[in-house]
Amino acid sequence: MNEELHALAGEIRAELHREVDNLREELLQVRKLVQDAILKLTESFSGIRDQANSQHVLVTSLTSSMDAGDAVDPDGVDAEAPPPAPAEAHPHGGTGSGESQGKRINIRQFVAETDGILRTFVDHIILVSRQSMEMVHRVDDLSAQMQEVVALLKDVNAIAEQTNVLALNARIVAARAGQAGAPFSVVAGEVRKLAKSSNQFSDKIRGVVTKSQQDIEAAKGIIEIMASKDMSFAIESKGRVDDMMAEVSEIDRFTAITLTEVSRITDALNHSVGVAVMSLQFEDMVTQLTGSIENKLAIVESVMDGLSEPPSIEPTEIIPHLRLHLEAQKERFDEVDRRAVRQTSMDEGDIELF
Amino acid sequence: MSGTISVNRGENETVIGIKGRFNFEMHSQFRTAYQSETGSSKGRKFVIDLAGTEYIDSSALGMLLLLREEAGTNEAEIEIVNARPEIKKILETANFQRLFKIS
Repeated sequence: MNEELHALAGEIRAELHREVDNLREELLQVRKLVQDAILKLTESFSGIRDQANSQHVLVTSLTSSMDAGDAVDPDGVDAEAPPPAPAEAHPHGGTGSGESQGKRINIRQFVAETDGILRTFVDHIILVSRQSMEMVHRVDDLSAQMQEVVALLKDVNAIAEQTNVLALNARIVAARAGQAGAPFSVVAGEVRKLAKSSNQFSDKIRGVVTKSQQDIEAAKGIIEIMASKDMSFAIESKGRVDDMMAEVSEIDRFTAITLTEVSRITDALNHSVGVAVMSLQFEDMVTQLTGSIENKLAIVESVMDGLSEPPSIEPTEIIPHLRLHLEAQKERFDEVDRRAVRQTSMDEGDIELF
Repeated sequence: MSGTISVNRGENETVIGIKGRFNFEMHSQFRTAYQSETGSSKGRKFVIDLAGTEYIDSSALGMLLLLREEAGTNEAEIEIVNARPEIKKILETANFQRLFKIS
């Protein structure tokens, strides 16, 4: 009977050992799985952080090319420059920021230069107009002088007319004088001829003056075309340039806001990744817990071994013997348990999420 | 089509008002309006009243510059008043606010 019981106990023990070994095996697998997962997660989180950072760098470099023109103040440059000088606004606007950015295209700078060119163009038109008007004044003066010539020719005509009358009178007087007056009559006829050709001469001069007046009018027509430029184009172009400037400023403002937001998101992401990586340190705890489970399994095995001791003792003493054995194992178990609890509580301070 | 000019000579200042289109055709009228003054009285003030001006082109800007040069030698003050917004904009685009008092 005792023999039979003993054999059965041995079988039970063997079976239990197999089960415990299985448990150990599975425990090992759990630990390995957790370790692998943690390794991969840590790598993945680091990857996320790196990519977020390089994304941030990319966005920053993309927007910095737009910000490059910030140092140029187009209104300040233009308002102070004298009329012929705005041409100097371009080199002014082009230095500094443009060079530091290399050959990168800068919208703000481009708009500022367009503004400078437009200004130079407007100044040029006004200068041409001013000089044309001055020319017109000179031509008007010339025209007035020509009118004076015409007025003087009237005087010449009056003199010729008087001369003519004088010659006529002389002929009458000569006729009265009879034979003695005949030569005098010839002189009077010559004088009359002279008065006539003087009149013809005046008419020719008048003809030339009239022709000159026509030429002067034609010249004034040309000057008018030169001087008269509709200014609305300048207003429209200026308006467009101003609009562009405002738009660039708006883009800059928006870019700044976006950039700040991107920075904020990147920071938040980095923080979250940091927390995640820190949280992954629970690996230690898993290792400790699995270690503790292994220890407990060992105790369970030893309890089992104690139950199937060879029947060297008297049956009456079996019960006190087993009780003693159980008490000893309980104490070992409690000891292992206390150690495990102490270790988990020590780690609690470091890991927030557990 | 062209505008008309009115001249109002005060004791120390001459007010030249331009109605309608201030363009090339106004040149001799405009010149006469200020020329009789510039030689004689030094320090005379000119007020260009653009209240009735509907249009202004570059030749008018040229005339104003000439007035400034011919009168400016006497350190005369030149003020441009009552310009309507679109004309004021032209004057500003031409940078006239640095050469004239625009109000």
